[in-house]
Amino acid sequence: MTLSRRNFLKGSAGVLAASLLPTAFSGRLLAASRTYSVIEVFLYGGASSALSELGMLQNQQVPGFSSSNHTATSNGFWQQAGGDILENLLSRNRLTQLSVVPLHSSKAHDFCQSYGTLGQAADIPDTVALAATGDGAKAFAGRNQSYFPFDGALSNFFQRTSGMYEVRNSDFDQLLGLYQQENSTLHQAFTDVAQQLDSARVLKENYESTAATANPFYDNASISQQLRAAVALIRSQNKTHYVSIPYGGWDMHSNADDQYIDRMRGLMQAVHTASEMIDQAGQPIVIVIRGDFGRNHHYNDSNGWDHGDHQVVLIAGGGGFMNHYGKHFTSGFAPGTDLSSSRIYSQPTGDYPVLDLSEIRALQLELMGVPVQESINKVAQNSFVWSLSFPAGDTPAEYAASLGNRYSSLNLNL
Amino acid sequence: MDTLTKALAIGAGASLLQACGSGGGNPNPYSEQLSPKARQMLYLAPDTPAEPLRTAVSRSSNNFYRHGNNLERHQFDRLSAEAKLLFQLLFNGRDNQTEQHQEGASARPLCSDYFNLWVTYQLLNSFVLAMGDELDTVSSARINTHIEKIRDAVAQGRSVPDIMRDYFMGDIFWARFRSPEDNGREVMEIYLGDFRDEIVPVIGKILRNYSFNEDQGTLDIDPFNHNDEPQTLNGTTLTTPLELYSYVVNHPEFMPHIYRHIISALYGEANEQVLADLNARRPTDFREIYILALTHRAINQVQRPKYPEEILLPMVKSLDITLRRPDISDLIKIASRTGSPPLFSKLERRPPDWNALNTAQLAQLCDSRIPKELWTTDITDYYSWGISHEQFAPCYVYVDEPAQLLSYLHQRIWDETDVAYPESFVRYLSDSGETGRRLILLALQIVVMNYGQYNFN
Repeated sequence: MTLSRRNFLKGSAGVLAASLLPTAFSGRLLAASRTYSVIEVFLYGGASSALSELGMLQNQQVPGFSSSNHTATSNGFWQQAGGDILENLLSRNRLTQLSVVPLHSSKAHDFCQSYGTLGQAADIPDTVALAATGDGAKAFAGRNQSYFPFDGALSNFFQRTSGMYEVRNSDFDQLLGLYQQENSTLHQAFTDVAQQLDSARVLKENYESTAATANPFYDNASISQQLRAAVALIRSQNKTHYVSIPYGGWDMHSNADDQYIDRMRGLMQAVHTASEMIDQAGQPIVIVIRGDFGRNHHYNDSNGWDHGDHQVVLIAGGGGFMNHYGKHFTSGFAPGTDLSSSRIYSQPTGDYPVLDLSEIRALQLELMGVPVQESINKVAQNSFVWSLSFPAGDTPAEYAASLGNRYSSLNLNL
Repeated sequence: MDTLTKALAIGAGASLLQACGSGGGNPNPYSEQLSPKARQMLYLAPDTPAEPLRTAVSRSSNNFYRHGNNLERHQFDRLSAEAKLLFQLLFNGRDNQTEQHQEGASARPLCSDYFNLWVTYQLLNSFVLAMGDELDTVSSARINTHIEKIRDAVAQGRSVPDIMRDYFMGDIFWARFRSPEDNGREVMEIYLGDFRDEIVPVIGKILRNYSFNEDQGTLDIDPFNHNDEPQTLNGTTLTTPLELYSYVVNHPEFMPHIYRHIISALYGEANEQVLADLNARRPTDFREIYILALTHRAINQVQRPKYPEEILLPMVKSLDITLRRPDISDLIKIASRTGSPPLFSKLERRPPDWNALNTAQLAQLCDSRIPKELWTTDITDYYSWGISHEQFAPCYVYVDEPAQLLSYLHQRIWDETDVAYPESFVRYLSDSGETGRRLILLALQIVVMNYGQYNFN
């Protein structure tokens, strides 16, 4: 698809004015230039930020947000959807929330997913290891190194020990030995992966054996398993990692409440146990959560939420190494917004910095140890500009320079 | 690169990331015969009789559903819709030896019914008619009904605009895109390539009395909330959903987008030459579109990862291996792990990602299905699985020549000729002390374990 340059800039006008940060931004997050592993959970489909905005929505009397299962916590989080867990993380310096409004005006899934995830793997230093669950490697487009695949159970499929493997016998072991003798690089790679999976699984199971009873938010849902597996993997390899975990199911055009409360609460429970595991590991690991876009707060005729723009990005964990910003956003509605209309898009109030998803990508690069200026340059060069339709005299290079200037104005210097 | 890797990488290069070819300079871009790549895309064994595709798929088959009917008595209904489809694609078009003998019929791997089912399966995995099985709103019953409708429409040769207009007005499309605004946005983006946000409210208004009732699992049409205010879309006045969807399917950009979605899914890219040739011919029948796509010489240039079924199904057909019912479910689980579950995305199926873990899983499935026993004739027996006697017998010709045995089996299973295995594997067979059936099975296990087949670099 293509977007016009005009459309692209149209969405950015209001954002630029609110984007000046008063103090060194990532400097506070990064604390002493430490290098962090980043676990990226991308919410495919585009999750609503009602979790973080419920209090505001109730204060503004937005229809549909005042029924019995909509309880706001002291900071205005949606308790039933995991707001109490956010409060817990917030009170222990384990949470940052930031407003993100895209610079472009697209609300199409494919474009927004690519814009929000791509263009960073090729820029990541070789010293940072890549890992992914499921099809998370789609976020690694352009990567210049291999990545480590794993699942929530850290299953080791290279050993034919499953009960379903009915032909396992000495033949198989001999054949593996033959590959070994041939110095097959493929076989060696498989063997290495198998060993790493086994060591990570031990770490994960050790945590779970106690957390199952000690942590009230513990559960065995798939996303919880994947996040804990990611932490165990990073710990077992003792290297800085960029882990991609795709988590879909957020395109809630119908029966939103029924789906959202359970799904978001499950995600928050997963984040909590992973954060606790990071604390116990004593390693600088953060979890960054975002999606395609935010959603319209209007309940449509199917009791769902259609596509929107503003979203609240969550950065969690950090193991105590990070000075979190906490709740670092406020939102509301543009003056004159008709709350009975079919388009109710929240927007930042301008009291806090507002980022574009490309800037979240730059922040991730910084977290992983890429110098700030280099992060700016790289993100500016890889911000999907090639998909935009530029008229003559208005080139991708000019756009890249413009984005670089804007990012610099965020005062992200360490 | 070590000897083994080099040898296996040759095979991988030709099969997983398919080799480049050239059809340039030929005024007729279409070929009569199926290429090896087209054969794999159709999930056919390497020894599929060579005949024009158009001829093969016009022929009826009198034993379609035979295996499905047998299985139906034994939990076939418990399989998911995608598993049922794959099971049909695995077994149908493959004659049962007993019946073949009794009826005197020849092997018919390609027939009209098989092709209709295959086309339906491709469409359900593409943007054109994706299912969205991951959505709570898309029930198994709805999926099965959808499959039946699409297959019938394909078989009857109904025009694409007719099929698609019915689809837009039906439950399944509204289960996929559930609100007027969502539905309107997606129909314009997917089928016309119009991504403008400002037209979405206009279309949402036209569709405002349509909504999906999740409790009932139906499309609700509210007669008291219908739009009666004419809306202007690109200079055209539209008021009702039928008018809107008719506008879409008759739009000059509609068929080009259908072609683009189909070719992108099948070729792994929007091959501009193939699209240009399709746009020149302007076919409006799904079968014809796929016949042209499969017989275009550009198919030899396809470079994309194989889907899991493009690896497993030709393999099991090549030696007449019988899978057990859970094997199909396992295949689908592996496909999910590669990021490519069939029939699962409401947009389109993504290409598989063959990383080490996924590769190991499929390799395990393949090499665990090389049995130590041969299967009996009754496939309804859960424990009756493996290679047929008929396909196994020719292997005995090579039991005294391990190198040739390996090459022969490699060609049979992976459709790659002239692949020589490293001497160490030949020596391994020679020194194994095995003879006859045991030796063949050991060689099969080496060939099927071909890790190079799943090269992900």
